[in-house]
Amino acid sequence: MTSGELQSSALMRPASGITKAPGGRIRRGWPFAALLLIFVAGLFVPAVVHSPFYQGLANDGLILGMLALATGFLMSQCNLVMFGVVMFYGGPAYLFAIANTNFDWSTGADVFAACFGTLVGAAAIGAAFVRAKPLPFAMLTLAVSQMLRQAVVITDFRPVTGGEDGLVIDLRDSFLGLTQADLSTPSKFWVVVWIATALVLVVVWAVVHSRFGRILRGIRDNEERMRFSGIGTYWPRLAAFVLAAGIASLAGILHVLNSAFASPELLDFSLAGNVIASVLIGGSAGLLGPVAGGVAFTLGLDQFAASGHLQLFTGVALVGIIAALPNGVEGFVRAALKRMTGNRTTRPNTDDAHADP
Amino acid sequence: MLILEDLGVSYGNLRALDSVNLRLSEEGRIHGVIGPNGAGKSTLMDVVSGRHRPGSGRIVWRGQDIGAKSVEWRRRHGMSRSFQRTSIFSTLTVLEQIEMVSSSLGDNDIAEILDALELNHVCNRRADTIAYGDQRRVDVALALVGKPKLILLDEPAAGLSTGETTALFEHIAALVRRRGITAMIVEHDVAAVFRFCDVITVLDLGRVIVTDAPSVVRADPRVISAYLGSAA
Repeated sequence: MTSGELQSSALMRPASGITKAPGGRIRRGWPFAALLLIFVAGLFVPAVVHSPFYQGLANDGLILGMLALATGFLMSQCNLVMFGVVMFYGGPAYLFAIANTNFDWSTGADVFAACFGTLVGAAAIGAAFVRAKPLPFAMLTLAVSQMLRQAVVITDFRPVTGGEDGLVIDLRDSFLGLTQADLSTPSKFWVVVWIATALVLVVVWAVVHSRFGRILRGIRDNEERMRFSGIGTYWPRLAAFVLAAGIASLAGILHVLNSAFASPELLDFSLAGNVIASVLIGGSAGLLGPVAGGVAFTLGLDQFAASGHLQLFTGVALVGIIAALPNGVEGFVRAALKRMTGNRTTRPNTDDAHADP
Repeated sequence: MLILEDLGVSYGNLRALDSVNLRLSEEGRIHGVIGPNGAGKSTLMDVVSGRHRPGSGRIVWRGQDIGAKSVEWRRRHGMSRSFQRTSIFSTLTVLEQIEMVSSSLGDNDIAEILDALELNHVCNRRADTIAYGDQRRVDVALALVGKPKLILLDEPAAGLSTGETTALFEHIAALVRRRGITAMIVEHDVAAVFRFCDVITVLDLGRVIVTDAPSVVRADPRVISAYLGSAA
């Protein structure tokens, strides 16, 4: 490649770093077409899966997957594990419930207040924590989430939080054209959660493939070099943290809209453990892995619970999956596809844990 | 352009830099810094680039005392550096990382750097998959983008063969002169330093022994005694 070609190609295009081969647009278009087809087909899942129980399970799986996506995004882009991700899941659920039970606002206003409050809280927490190294960061987020878990059951706060009993929500009006009864109906709620998941995936994909995403990976690779390149490392990490919190808060809002109930269990560390397990099962390298991991983990938990040996079988399954698929299901699929296609790209992803999603 | 006044750095009881005075003012010139191990060469680079704070003295950059300025500030105000241990972005492609830095610094002229450092053949490959010599050149390229006024190169030829070292120094010298950059290079390859540098400073035990033209430095008995020995 000559300098002239570089200037015209490398500098004018969005700097993906991928040399376009003849027909590359067609080849690269196929995955998008396939994903679009999957999205449209996914809307009709309730027409195929008739059982409300399994429809509800699928809804829960996608919500867990969204939570795993928030965690996986921060893991893959910033090398930060948010053990306390549930604070941005249960937190907005509680904020929504508190707004709903204490103020005469519309449901939309309740949702806005919960999301806004969560983002403000995330910015404050992130401002203090994102400078920390990965392990202290993980433990700090865990500590805050468990403080929140304790706070909601304090007797003095019971009039506001409902204590151990939680808060029951009674929607005053419809939300996005759906009544409380609609939102509680698994088949109708599936459409909401499916579209929300798709939108979140698109947003995260866009972020990961933007210049901002590249900066995040640059910081992850070599923070010192980033600073010596004149690029600050604090604000990008904070923005990534707030984005992850925003995704988690959407999952929390969806959960509370569906269940009409905010309980202390939404802030439990056991739920955070499920989220981490989902990321490990699906793999954090890409975007679809955590979502798939969330669905698979939810379905697996149901089967294991039915056997009466939930913890035992869950542990065995996790050990087996992590041992067999160290980069998760998505990492395995990526590697298999790479082998099948003979790795035609000029940009090898040798480190699947840090592969570009 | 860059003035170091009585610069001092201590690590506990060890005096790494002791009253160092230096002046780099001419653009397009290469200033070599040599000395035995432990002389304070890398410490000097670290202090000037902002990695470490000086214990005493002043660093004046284009008329401003920058002793308390951050590394980001220094980079955005024309001072860049490369590292003794290759410091690049391993999971980004060569082009991605150079574009990332250049766009943040408002410099779109990266093609010249890629050409000059012969990185075009690897520009679409991830940095952790290219040869070590190419990685060293990426490190230098990252320091060169953004049109810096002063570039600090800490052993840019570390781990390279004699031929690779000569080629790298030729590339650097050409770019530095063409772009009017002042370069300060710490290097153990004495032959390359004497061949390519316009001015050489010799450090020993944290002190400046001499700063002068290569021919003068080579003949200085203090330098021969402290560092060059029979190599002179």
